[in-house]
Amino acid sequence: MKPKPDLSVTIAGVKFPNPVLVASGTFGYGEEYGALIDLSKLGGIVCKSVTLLPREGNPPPRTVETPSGMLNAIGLTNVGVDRFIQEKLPFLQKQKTRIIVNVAGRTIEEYVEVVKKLNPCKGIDMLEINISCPNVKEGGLAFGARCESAQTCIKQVKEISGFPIIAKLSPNVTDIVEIAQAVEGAGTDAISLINTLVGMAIDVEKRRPVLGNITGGLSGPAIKPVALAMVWKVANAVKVPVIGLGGIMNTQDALEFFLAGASMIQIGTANFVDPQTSVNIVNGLNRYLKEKGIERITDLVGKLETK
Amino acid sequence: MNNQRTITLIQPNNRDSEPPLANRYMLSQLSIPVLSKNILQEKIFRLTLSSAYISQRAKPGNFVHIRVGSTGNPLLRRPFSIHSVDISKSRFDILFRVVGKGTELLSQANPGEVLDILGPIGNSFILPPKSKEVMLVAGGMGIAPLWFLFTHMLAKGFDPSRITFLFGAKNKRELLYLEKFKKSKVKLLVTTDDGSLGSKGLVTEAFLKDIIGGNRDHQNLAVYSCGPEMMLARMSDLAKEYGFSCQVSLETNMACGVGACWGCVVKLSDGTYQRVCADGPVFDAQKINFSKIA
Ligand SMILES: Cc1cc2nc3c(=O)[nH]c(=O)nc-3n(C[C@H](O)[C@H](O)[C@H](O)COP(=O)(O)OP(=O)(O)OC[C@H]3O[C@@H](n4cnc5c(N)ncnc54)[C@H](O)[C@@H]3O)c2cc1C
Ligand SMILES: Cc1cc2nc3c(=O)[nH]c(=O)nc-3n(C[C@H](O)[C@H](O)[C@H](O)COP(=O)(O)O)c2cc1C
Repeated sequence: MKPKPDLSVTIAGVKFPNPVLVASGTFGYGEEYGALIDLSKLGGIVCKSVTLLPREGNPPPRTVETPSGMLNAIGLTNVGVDRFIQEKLPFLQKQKTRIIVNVAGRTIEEYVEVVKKLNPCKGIDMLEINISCPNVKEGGLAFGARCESAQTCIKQVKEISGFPIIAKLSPNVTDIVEIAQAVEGAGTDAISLINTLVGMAIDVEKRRPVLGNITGGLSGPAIKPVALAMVWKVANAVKVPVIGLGGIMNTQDALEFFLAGASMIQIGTANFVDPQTSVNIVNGLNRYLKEKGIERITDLVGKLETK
Repeated sequence: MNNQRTITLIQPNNRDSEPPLANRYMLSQLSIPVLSKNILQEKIFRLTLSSAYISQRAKPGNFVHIRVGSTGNPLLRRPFSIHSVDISKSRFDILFRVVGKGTELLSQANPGEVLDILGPIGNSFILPPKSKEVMLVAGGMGIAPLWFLFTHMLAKGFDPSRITFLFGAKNKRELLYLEKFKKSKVKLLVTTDDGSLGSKGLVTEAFLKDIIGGNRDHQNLAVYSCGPEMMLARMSDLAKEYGFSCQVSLETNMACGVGACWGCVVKLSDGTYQRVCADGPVFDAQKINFSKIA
């Protein structure tokens, strides 16, 4: 009998049971989906972005469906790092899965403050540094869109972080490879991409934008080809592991990202469509590797043939 | 028959502000067969769905989040109020109007077809003490959750002669269930936009006329309302002005339906936001800042 395929992946010394994570902002703090899926089957949970102070977020409407995708302008609604540690982390600590806390800020000092507060906490495996949110006026994308600021932000966070860090990149840039190399130079342990693409919807009757924030971030199947190309370009240009996301709905989509060079993947919008998506993909990957006689998922990473 | 998953309780949302009205979570993801489909009017459909799980747990105000297609278009689930429940037959109904591609697809579901449904979701209307005078104010498809509330109250022994049901619709064809209302002995007031039945005009204005003219004690009213946003905004203004208690069931664009994404929020008078899916859909009309929704 063939041995069970090995889905485990180790990045920055952290061993994940499988390469399927759920993406920040689409899975709350884990507890919201606890009744619907077996969280221990996930490779890990990336929580909603936490900021230094609580944030109420943007005026509604905050979401709208678009062809094969959706726009969101939530505006980083979250309880703030103190309440996150008191109220949300205890549930996450009890889960038999890896926990990645996503951090956002308006200034570099804020990112640093949040990370300092998280440093003493147990049960956190990695941090994902969101330098790519398109829906807040200051910070977020402001850091991720320019090489120098991305580099400074990641460098300062890395210097004080007690956890390995992932830099989460925005696709709303002229050259994502430059940014990826900048954050690699700043010492990030891994890179995740992509965050949402800036988009807009208009209500013709009212002659008004549909979203309260006017613009929002596009996610879902519509962005998969963009995400895939960016993952492929970045994976070919950096040495740190790449985590791919953007429109992944099923095992087939996931396999495309591994071939393009992603060591791990994240499931975002698909959680809304079917909460079982991530678990289905873990099972699907298992089946695929077994059928093809491939021993390890890592054997697939970057195996795209272009010649 | 239903492929029902293990059920655990999700912790109710705890905010600093007041606890949400009767918030509870019994959410499950279910494969639910369609038992029958009724076309009540042009573009208005009622689907009867078979689920012991939901029929046993559903409370008036709860809703279900339905996956309406298996392709990426439409992508997200669509929310619908639970319209009525038959516990003995393990079934419940939804009532909806076709307004776009999601509802169009759902209207094509046939008996025997199995739907992927999350539910029951959300909080529920809080029943008043029996001493109160009850007024239910529905506009258009707002009848969907209020019908469930109304039949639930009758089943709980509320005196129909102390309930006033105000129902407004586009025209007389969309005033559903007139026969059933007649049998129930409730006091029914109807309005239509075109004047084809009842008084011509808005149901909120018929309501206002009734509460100022009918020598009602505003403190003793328990008002429940559901309908288009403009209508609920008016109800909220009236509740603030006349000081009667009023619970409204809200609709907003919704993505996850489980409280995770914070997409479906409404603004409260204190400036904070709450989620229609996890903190609602039923809210105290006096606490909502409607001016900021539109
Ligand atoms: C908690 C909750 C309970 C609901 N219960 C019911 C119910 O019992 N019966 C029912 O018919 N509908 C109900 N709705 C509204 C229903 O979910 C929408 O009509 C549906 O999602 C529209 O999907 P669609 O793909 O057909 O339309 P889309 O293609 O998404 O939209 C088509 C058009 O309809 C409009 N529209 C979309 N959503 C709404 C809405 N919520 N209200 C009014 N217009 C809308 C859009 O602005 C657009 O112009 C409820 C909504 C919520 C949040
Ligand atoms: C409703 C919503 C909220 C999001 N919130 C965050 C967030 O707080 N922080 C973050 O880094 N990314 C956030 N994202 C982006 C996702 O994590 C992901 O990068 C993006 O949606 C692309 O993946 P997908 O197409 O699989 O959804 C959010 C996305 C959505 C749809």
